[in-house]
Amino acid sequence: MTATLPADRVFADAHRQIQDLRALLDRVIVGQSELVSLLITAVFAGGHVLIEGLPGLGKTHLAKALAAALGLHWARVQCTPDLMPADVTGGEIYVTAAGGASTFEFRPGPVFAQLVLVDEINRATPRTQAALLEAMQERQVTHAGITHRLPVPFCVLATQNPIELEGTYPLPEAQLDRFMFKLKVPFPTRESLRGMLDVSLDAEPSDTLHSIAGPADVLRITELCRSVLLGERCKEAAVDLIVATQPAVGGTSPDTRRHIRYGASPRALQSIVRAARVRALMAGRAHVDIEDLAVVALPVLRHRILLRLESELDGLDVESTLASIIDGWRLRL
Amino acid sequence: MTSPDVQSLIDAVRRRLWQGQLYVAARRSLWSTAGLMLLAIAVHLAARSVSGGAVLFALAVLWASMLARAGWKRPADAACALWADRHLGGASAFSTLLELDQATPPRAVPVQAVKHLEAFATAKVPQCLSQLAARPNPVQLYRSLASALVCAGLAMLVGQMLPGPAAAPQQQGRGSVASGPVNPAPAAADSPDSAALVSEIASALSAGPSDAAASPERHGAGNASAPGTGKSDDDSGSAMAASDVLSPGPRGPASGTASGATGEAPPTAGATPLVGGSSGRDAGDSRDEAAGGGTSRALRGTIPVQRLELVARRPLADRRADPGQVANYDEELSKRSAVAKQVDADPAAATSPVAATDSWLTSTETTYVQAWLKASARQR
Repeated sequence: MTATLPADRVFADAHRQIQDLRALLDRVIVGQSELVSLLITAVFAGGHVLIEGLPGLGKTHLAKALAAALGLHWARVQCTPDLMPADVTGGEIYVTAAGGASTFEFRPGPVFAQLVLVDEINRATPRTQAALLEAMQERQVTHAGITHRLPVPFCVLATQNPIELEGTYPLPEAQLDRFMFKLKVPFPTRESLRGMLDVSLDAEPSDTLHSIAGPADVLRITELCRSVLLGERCKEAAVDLIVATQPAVGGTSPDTRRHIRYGASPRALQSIVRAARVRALMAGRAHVDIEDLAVVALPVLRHRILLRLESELDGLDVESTLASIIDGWRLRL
Repeated sequence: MTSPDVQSLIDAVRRRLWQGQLYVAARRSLWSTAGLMLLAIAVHLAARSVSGGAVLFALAVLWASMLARAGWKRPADAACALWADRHLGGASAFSTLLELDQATPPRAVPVQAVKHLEAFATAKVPQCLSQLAARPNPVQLYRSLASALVCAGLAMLVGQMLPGPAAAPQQQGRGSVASGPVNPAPAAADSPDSAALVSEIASALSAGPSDAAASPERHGAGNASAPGTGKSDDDSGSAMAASDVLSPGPRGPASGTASGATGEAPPTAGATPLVGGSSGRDAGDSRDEAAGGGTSRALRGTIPVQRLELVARRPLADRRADPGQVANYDEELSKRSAVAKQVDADPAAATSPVAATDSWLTSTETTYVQAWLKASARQR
């Protein structure tokens, strides 16, 4: 008879913690289970998330609940057209000390939180967007020649409103590429709406949520995810997926060459693999599977593909094009 | 690093893949067999040059090469592990584990992750083995087997109905002899006049009353159609000839003229049918170049039949014209004609002709008579 080998305790503990976190958030955020899983994936993969959804779907509530469950210090930035970069990154103020000495003191901005919620990022000016995105990429802020490191873990949840686009500044593709995921918040189902009435009618559940993990646990699990094994088959599959989105590379499908103007970048390949490792750990494995890559493929690639103008005028959207590319990729595996 | 359980799963998958390869090879061989049979049928119908032995040899080579090739390709461990991951729910565990095990040079890997991977893979083995056992063989042989059997049956049928060149002459001889005592139909297409003449001859021969003296030599109408009784035909023929010589009777001038005419018959026209009863077709269907434009000795409408003495009957396989007999025939004809003239001088002593059935021409004789008539007509 087969003798079962004892599983590694470290991985087993991490898996259990992640499962507990998911269960907790599913109780608080009703009807958004997949969204919660992907958010947790991004946090443990060290990436940032762009969330797109109609007003009132609980995006802010989600960020607060996540921060509370993980015991992270969180901050919120409401973007407006008059928001200045210093309002995000912080700035120097002239402070007079008790002894009468006055100096300039750097006051960090809201970006110096472990979980930053940036509401309606497309309403901020390009200059402010650039300052924020630079902080996201570098994980540090340089002001007056002094570099200030951002805290770890550090995760930005930016939101966008798909309507009311007047007076907005859409993020350029180069800056969109810095977000690991772009998630779309669907309208809740009927059952979910009924559940919301039971959960969050009179009070915000995130306000009374107790944390089940701390920043150190997040760092530990993030480090553990980096040790998840990645086989050659999965490596080849991830590369094949990125290449399948490139219209200029030989051997791609006719749909890709016909509809796609710009494909995914190498940063997308890194994002896919990092996210797949977290998904593997969430599934209780210490190795990546093809299914892990398939689950994170659409959120990773959704905002990195640019369609041709003719295809957009024909009514084609990125979602359907990517779905066909991903299906073809899976069939070839 | 690979546990014995994982290795046993890989071995089981290898056996399944090997079996699948053999099934695929068998299916391809069956389809190739069907194609080969159809090709053999087509070639046999066109040229009659396909032998069963060659087809069987080709089939043996085909099957041996296909099965040997399938059996030679041993599925590698990596391929087996990948197959298990894809089809048995391995979740890339087996292939990842095997990669770590076979990595050259061995790379530094996190120990905790490897340990967890081994535990995961080992725990998956029983489930994968049960899925493997329950998995049906996707390769089906029904259609290919049915096609091969149908084509093989068709090939056998064609081979029996249309034999090759070795058996063809035998069947041809049999067919020509078996066509009946008087068979004007085959040559009728060539010359309607010939057919009419032949039927006239047959009726003329059958018009005479049966002769009791010639009855012991009579063997009935079937004798003319039986190749084995050609000798008896000649016996009866010789008896009839003798009776004709002795008693031309009702034939009178016609028979006399006929006998005289027969004495002058071209050697080739009469020789061959009276020599062992061989078929004129054995000498080839082409026009007999040696045949001269001889003068017809027969009256129109009647062709007297001279039954000469029996000559040694040749074997069935060697029924062809014997040039030596031609000379004998001519000499005997002249003798007969001389005797007939003497007989003609005494009409009172004439006897009635031999019974009709014995006088019937065999198909071979009919054929030669027709050919002789044709040649005569051309000469005129």
